[in-house]
Amino acid sequence: MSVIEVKDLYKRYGGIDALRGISLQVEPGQIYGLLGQNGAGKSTMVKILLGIVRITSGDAYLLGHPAGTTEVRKRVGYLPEDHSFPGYHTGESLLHFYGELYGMNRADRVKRIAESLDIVGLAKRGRSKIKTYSKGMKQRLGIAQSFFHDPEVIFLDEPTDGVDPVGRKEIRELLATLKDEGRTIFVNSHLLQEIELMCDRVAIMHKGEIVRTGTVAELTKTVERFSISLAPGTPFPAAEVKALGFNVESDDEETHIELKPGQSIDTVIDHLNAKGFRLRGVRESKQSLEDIFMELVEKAERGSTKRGVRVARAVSQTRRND
Amino acid sequence: MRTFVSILRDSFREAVDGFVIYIMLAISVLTIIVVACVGYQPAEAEVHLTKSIKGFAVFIPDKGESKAISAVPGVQYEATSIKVNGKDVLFDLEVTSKLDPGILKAGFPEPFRTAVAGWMKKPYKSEKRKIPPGVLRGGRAGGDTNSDATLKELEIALAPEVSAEEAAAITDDQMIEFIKNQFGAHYGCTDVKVRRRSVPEAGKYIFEIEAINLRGSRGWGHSLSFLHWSLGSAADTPLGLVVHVIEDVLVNGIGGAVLLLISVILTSFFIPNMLRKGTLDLVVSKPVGKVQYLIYKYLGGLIFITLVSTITIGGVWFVIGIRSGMWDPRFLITIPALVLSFALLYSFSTLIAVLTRSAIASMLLTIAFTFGLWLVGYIKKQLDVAKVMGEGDLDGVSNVFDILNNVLPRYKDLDKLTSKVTSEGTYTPILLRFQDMIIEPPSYFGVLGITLAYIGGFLALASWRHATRDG
Repeated sequence: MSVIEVKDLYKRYGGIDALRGISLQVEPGQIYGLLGQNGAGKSTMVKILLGIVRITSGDAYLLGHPAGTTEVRKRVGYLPEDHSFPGYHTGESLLHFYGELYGMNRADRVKRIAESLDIVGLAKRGRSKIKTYSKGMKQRLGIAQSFFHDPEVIFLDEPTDGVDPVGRKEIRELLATLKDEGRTIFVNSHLLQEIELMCDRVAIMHKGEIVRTGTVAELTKTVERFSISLAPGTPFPAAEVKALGFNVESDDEETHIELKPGQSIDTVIDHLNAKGFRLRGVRESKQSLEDIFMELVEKAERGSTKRGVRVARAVSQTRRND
Repeated sequence: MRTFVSILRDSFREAVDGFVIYIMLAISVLTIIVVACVGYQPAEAEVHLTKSIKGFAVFIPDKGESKAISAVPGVQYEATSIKVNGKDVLFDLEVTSKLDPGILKAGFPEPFRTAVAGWMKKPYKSEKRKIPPGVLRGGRAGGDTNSDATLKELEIALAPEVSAEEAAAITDDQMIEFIKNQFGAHYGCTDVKVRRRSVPEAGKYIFEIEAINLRGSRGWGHSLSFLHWSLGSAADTPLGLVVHVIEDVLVNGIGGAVLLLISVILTSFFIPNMLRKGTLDLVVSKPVGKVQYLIYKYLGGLIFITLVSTITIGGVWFVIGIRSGMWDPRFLITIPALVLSFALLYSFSTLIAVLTRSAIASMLLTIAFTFGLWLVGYIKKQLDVAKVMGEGDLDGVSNVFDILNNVLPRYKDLDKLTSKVTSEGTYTPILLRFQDMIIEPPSYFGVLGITLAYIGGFLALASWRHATRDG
């Protein structure tokens, strides 16, 4: 049985289609990433699954039950994007409050809260008011509150937002641990690298639609591409290689060869050796998830506005610089 | 229940963190201290008794059970040989006739005996007079100007008719019972020993009185002081009236209005804070319903105000009891009355908060709503008075405000009802009957029914909007 099952899901806010016929399945024990630009509909889909936002049409099931029921929400953890904890709570008191809403008894709360705060590195600040926390600490607390009650499914909307690189690595390790414990984790993000590093499967969303799904390996292995450099001053015999049936592109430093199905780079290397060219380097340039994402966004935008592409590039660039 | 307690505790934590509770408690303690500083000094027996005993001419027919008051002209009551023992007073009550002796000889019934016989009977006649609701009756409402069909009718009891035979048949025991009842009716003093002393003069009666705690009774005149400063009030103002003014005007009226206003301001942030985007998602993703959470938050605010009101009103009641010796618990009705008033305003504030998600909008509109309700009540009262006084043609405007007053929550009428209940614990029976002649209380059904309907309506609307709103 799928943990999450969404069929032909539509959501309309006023005159805007936030989701346009989305269908996806998430199997138990996976870390599933939903990748998309701001406004792609990622958060809306999670909110529908949690019953925060109502469905316009279609079906959404969580743990085999219609999404959003009280019973299902007991078995789910959630970290919303741009969350705002009441500043009058301490980390501990907030988790006690949420634990009471989940129906946890006091003994369980005390044990699990201490463990969870320790896991996210907030054990020493558990009794401090949240209003004294940094952004990163609030994010860690947010992650703690999403799993401290032992849920089967955890939804994390931009979990590494505001967290420093060391913290991000810790979060990735934490998610891996939670996955090893058998939990299903659903991550919304526009941080391409994060998704690539932590997720088993990825769905790419654009303007309310899922444009591609698959494992990270599947998505990034779609095209084989090699970069070849020759000895300085030696021009690359592009015409000869093209005559062998290969796609060739060159820039100032390297020549890039894209393989078609059934082709091998060895054919090119053998040809170059036979012709006496001195090779300086051969490197497989695997397509990153970012390349895939950009390509898909560009395809989706082609023929209409290019603004989306520019925004995606800008976002991507900003994230890389973080 | 567990969820409710959790959300309640969360609201309490929010109130404590925002200093809301400290501000409220400071106001509460200040009110209690101010009231505790008020002292009540009983008037000198010689002066007060001499004046107030003359009021015995007025009695309550049907052995004090009637809702009307009555009087028999020609009876004079005097206090002589007054002795004071602490708050107990011993004196001779001399009852004489002011009528010409010739009239009595002609077979006219003795006025005192007539009064006693009249006191034992039900009022024999009543008149229905048209009086505008909610305004002063009697002098103001007199004349033939009350022709408007909307004016209400008041039953005025007339003195019972007593024959000479009935008057002559009155026994000593009946006279003593009458005198004792008069102490209860005029002073609220029920522990009174009365003995008739024989005197030779016809038409003159002397009763030896020993009234226990008469000087501490609610009908006894008292002067006020604040700490050691005299407030300059007339020494013959009954203690019950003075206490009622403090309870009703100062505490329920001014204090209650201030408490409600501050409560509205301070609690107007609770719901908008809860509805903030990142906060609401965190809570409603837990196994608690959106509407359930909203209503629990509302109830949390209500319980918070109930606690503050209970501390304030309970404290005031306690210090008034200590200082004045009046412990009637009916003043405590002010607690649910204040809570009901706040429940109305907070339900409106909740609705605005759900619609706008703005604390400022919620606060300002709730204050405007409160002022609007007060204004409608005030204008209606003024129009009622103007109509009785025959000032201009105000029928059209008056009808509009009558309708408005009937269909809007009875915010001011709730005050009137509270005042009536608390006065029953402080006024003497005679004073209560005077009050009933002057002030017409609004109907419980109208006030409570409409107010509760509005609270339910506001909350239902807020819940519907909250439940159907995404995010």
